[in-house]
Amino acid sequence: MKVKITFLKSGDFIFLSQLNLYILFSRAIRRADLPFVPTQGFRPRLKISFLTPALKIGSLSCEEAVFSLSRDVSLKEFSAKLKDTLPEDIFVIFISKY
Amino acid sequence: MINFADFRRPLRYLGREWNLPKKDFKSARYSLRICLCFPELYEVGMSSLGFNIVYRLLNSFDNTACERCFLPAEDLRDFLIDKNIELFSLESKTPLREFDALGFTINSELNFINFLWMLYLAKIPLAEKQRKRPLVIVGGLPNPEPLSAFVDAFYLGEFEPQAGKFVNILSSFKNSSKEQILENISQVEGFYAPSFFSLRKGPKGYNFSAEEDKKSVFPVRVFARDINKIFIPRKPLVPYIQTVHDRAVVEISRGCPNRCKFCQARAIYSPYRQRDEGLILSLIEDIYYNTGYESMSLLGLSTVNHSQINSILDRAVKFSLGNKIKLSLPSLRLDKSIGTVLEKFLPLSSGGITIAVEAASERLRTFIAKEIDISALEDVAKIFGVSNFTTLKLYFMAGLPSETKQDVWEIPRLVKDFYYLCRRASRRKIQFNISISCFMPKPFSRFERERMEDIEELEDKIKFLRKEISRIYGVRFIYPDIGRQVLETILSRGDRNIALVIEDVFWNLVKSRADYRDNFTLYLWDKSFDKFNIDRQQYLGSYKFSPSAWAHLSGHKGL
Ligand code: SF4
Repeated sequence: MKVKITFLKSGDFIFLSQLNLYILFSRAIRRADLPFVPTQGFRPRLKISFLTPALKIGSLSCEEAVFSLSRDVSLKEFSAKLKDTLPEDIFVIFISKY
Repeated sequence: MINFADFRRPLRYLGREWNLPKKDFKSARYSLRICLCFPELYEVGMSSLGFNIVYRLLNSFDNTACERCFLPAEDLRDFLIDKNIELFSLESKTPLREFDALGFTINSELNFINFLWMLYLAKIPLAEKQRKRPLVIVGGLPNPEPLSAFVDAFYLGEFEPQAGKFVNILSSFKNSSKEQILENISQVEGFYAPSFFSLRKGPKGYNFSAEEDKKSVFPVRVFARDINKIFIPRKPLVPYIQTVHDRAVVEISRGCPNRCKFCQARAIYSPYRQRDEGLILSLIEDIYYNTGYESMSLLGLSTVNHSQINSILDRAVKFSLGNKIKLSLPSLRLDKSIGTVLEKFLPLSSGGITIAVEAASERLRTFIAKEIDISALEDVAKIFGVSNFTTLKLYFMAGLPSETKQDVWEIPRLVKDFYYLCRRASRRKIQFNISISCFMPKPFSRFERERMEDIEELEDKIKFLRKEISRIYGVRFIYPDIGRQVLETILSRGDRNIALVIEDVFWNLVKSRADYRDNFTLYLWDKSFDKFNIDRQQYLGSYKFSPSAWAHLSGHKGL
């Protein structure tokens, strides 16, 4: 199952690059104990891809990312769990199946 | 306001990590405001377990707000100087000068200069005598004497048992004079106010005595008797940029039951104490779910010595597999059991193995009391053959007491034998790293009175080793920085006189706005040693017949 999230990066978190965001999301998904798909390799990361191009850091922006999950989860559960494990300044606007 | 986007890696200065204590750091409701400082860049400081423990520990007190500050990188540093802005805390961006106390963690003598940089950038006078507030407290140093002129009080040993008393005294004497606070804090074991004691070098050695008008307990190093019952942070901060050790850390033991003579760590963290298996497992789970780290490390000076290591690993590996975490151990001791330990890691696709061999010849190993089982290397090679391990790192030392040419010769021989053993066992490509460091006679180690070899002797040995080891195809040789290690030895064995030199070097670096890596340039230090007519050799030679400048700090006490 794939889930797309549309989120706003604001406040102090405008300084996060896409790589920083990737690590932030990976750890948020693990904290939420959501069923993720790991990548192969030395440091098991998560399958997350960004649909929006990497922007210059330091400005307010709206971006999209797709998470691969290893089994089906209701969007309600997904959004509730993720909300608890994301910092406030990463504001999720919209969640949909992808 | 500073626009952090103008600086490299702006996330260093954000202070918004995951798991930040839920405190309004700016609020006036706290009776005690402390800033914990680490004289290194964010990425290094955030990797220090001790620093993180103290941070959470102090914030666990309701009346205390504890913030952090790291050494700003050169770009921000120069900006602060040019714009006349004071160094500030990360959480609330408050100038350091406004705190009640600054608590520095200094875990390397090579950070002395950075420590002065932080005081300077905060516009706090360097000399202890010229200050009223904030109180400057330094913890983490085995021999803190070289910093005596700059520090109000040192803390010796582990902080957990005394944190409560510390917070109490500082908050109840908040508006008293510095003198009064120091007098009270000096009654608490572990604290050591250097201005309450004199340390003078006489013809027969050092003389340490209490100043007549000052009341204080004699300085002792404090350790926690039971490391199962102390405060253990289960919600460590999770940075958003990669740090040096970017992973969850679970401490399984403190101290070390072995008695290698060159080792300072075992003396500083003695006695050996271990944590219960059940507690370790619950920490692994909690810390994982609270941080989401994709890798985790079990920490201890010699993890294979834990009496329950096998079942701890069984369960930790199972947890790691279930949650797809990378699990690692710090450097391994070459023990008969190493094969069994490594086997447990086979199901995980782990990165590498680090083994501290130190000396290649049996004779020298016996002399330095590094009692390891060299034949266990065969087991290591075998496991390597059937595993996914990709790197192997071996540590050796050069310049150990009693070392002969023959002993040095045996290093490349051992490396070669072991390398071919591994090659035979495995057809995969293995990254082989050989790391050499120079022996340093550090205070409180059993070799504290030995001499450090001269730079020329060490250079010869390193040159020889590099030539021989680089000849083995596929082996990478990692050099020591000899000058830096010499400097580290001098500063670690230093007395109070050396403060003049440290300060002089510092001002020269400030004048030229040097990069931090120039802190270790030996000739800069030599110039200052000459200026004050201090012979640096006196800190490098044998102490067989002269008392050391740190002997008065060898007392331990368990609480
Ligand atoms: S070198 Fe390692 S094994 Fe030896 S005493 Fe020190 S910590 Fe223990």
